[in-house]
Amino acid sequence: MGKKTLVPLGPYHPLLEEPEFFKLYCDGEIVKEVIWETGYNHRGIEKLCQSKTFEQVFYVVERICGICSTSHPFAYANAVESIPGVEIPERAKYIRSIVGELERIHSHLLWVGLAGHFLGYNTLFMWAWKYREPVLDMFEIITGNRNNYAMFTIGGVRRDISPEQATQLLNVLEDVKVKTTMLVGAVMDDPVIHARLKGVGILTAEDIHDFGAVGPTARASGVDIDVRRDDSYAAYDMIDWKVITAGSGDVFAKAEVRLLEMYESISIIKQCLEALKKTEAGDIKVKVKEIPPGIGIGHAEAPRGEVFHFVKSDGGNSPVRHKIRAPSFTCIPTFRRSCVGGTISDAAIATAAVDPCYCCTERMSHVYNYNTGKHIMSAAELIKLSQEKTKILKAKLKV
Amino acid sequence: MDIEKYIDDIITKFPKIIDAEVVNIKRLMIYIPKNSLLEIAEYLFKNLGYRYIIVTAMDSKEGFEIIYHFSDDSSGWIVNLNVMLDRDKPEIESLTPVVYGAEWIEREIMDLLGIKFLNHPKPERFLFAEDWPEGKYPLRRDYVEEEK
Amino acid sequence: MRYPKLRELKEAITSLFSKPYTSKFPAGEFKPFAGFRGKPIVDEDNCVGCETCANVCPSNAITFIDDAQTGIRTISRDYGTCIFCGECEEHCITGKGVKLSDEEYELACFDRSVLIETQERELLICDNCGAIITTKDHMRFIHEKLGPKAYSSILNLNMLNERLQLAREEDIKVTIQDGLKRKDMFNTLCPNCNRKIQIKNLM
Repeated sequence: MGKKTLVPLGPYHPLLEEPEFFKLYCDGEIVKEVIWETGYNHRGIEKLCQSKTFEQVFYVVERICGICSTSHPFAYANAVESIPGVEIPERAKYIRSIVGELERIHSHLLWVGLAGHFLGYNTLFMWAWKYREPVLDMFEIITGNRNNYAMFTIGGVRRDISPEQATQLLNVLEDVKVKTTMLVGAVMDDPVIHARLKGVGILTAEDIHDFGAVGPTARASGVDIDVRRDDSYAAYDMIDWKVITAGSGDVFAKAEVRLLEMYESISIIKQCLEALKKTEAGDIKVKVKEIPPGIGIGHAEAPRGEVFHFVKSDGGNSPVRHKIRAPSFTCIPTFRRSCVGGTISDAAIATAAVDPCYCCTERMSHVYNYNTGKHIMSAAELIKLSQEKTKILKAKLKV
Repeated sequence: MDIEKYIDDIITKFPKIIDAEVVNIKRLMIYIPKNSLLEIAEYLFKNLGYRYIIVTAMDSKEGFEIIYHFSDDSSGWIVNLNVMLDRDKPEIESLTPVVYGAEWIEREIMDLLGIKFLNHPKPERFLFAEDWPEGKYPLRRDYVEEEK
Repeated sequence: MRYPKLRELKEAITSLFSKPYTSKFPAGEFKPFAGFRGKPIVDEDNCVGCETCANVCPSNAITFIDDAQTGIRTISRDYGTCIFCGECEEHCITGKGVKLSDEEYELACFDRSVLIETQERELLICDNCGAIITTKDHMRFIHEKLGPKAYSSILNLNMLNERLQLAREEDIKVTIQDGLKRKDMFNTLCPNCNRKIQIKNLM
């Protein structure tokens, strides 16, 4: 290993247990081995949850991830409500689904933007993030904040959606749909993106099964899993929608799955809003007096994949054990298969394809010589490397 | 999934299973002795094609409890394997040779609860910093937080 | 030039002539939407100092200190720790004591101690054992809620008398001595002491 160059890609992620640091051992430009290191951002949330009451845990798990701050409360609500066997009101189910799907739209738009940035398509980055803004504004109107929505509680939701808000949301969705069509076209028709993403970071269905990878990462490899359908929760079994899959397992397939999922989300929200009209306004919560002793296992489909919560109650005020698994915990190890054999410039997009919360990953990526320890490249330079490859491809394809 | 038939089948296949019960809607808990973990996990993961989710470990009254969660995505059932470990000698065979993805979580449990996984390919620290003292496990019941 | 380029060109031109989506915040004013969860604002008239919000606060931003000597409860709210979840608003027993403002959100400052707000409420203290019952406002709120039934409570009558001064000092002043007796019920007593007297009476 002495002659290989070490390329650290990291060092940490802001999600629960995903703070990691990738050491890419490279021979020339080809990645030979990926080794990960974690623990940079361990916050002890599982332990912290055990000191909060069942209701307060919502606000803790909401802050595990800054981007998907509904998915953790969603899974936790599924877990905790299953212990006493609470059936939440139908209206609350629809509102939960609306919030969850809105989050999927904004998360996928964010991903498309960042992927574009990695490839050197900064216009795509700017546009995707611009179209994401109305969705975030919608969150502010419905829940009271752009992020950390504080929407869920045991037995239902905390805020109702008024008819005016519903109309407003419909208008925003129409707008987003038009923009999504534009984005899908921009990505799918571009020959450079095809050349850059196809055949990069391939994961086969066996790889997915070995690592237990979930979400769009799994669906892009043809593994047809989606918690929303397989173990239906909230309102997902009451509406008509389909799971998007792709077969090739490369980064392009992952992009395709995410882009097409946005259409499904838009359609789900529209159906939910339609169904809201039939239910009585204000009936959004049932009172849950206590959580009896027992085990609650809940999972929910976050934009990045399945979020899994295990709650054990002894009949007291707070959980005695709360286990949380975020999707990236099983998706990130797949880098071991997806990056090896590719070039360093492909590693950046192959790791990004899983959609880890990589806002921190890109902040501190350095390339230095493994033998001398000398600093060679910084994060910006690594992205530049990736962008330059796109430029070369563009010149080759003469576009 | 016909759960009663399923429980009967799995108990006839693995007579070592101590007990199997439905703990909640679509959640099955199978209590197994620790020496039969690998064969049952291999059967679930490889033969039945269940998806590995995660491993939960906790310090309960009787000892260390490890729960292996597997998901049957065709029916939505979550099948859990529950292993109880002795408090004095918390050791168990590593699942990593069977389920590749279990490497991280086993290292994490090693850090947080001090359970030893035999034949683990990389039994190193996962979460803690290098200066974290040996033998201090935050998720154990007897762990006392130090005053700052 | 192929068709896809035209589509993006159209988008680029519309983007060029449209205003940026973001607001020029520190330079220009920004008004959040209605229902925004901003700074929790305490309504001094309606907050009774019952400590419910301190119990439900997930981030322990609300704390209280009871001083039996001075008879004052100090409730402090640290907006530096507050996560603006709205639990205090939802659980407030009066329903009006604290409201999350949808206008006030600029809390950034250089000195964290500026973010701590305190309120003081008068405490009701047991004449016999010195235990803290609750705040006077809280008791009054409970009695108001009970309506006519509240007049069966001697504590309520005592508190009313304190305000209206219907009977003067010597008429009502009964000092508690050599153990609790039935006459001591006319003092301000905590539920524990009250129970003791009742049981003694029954025996």
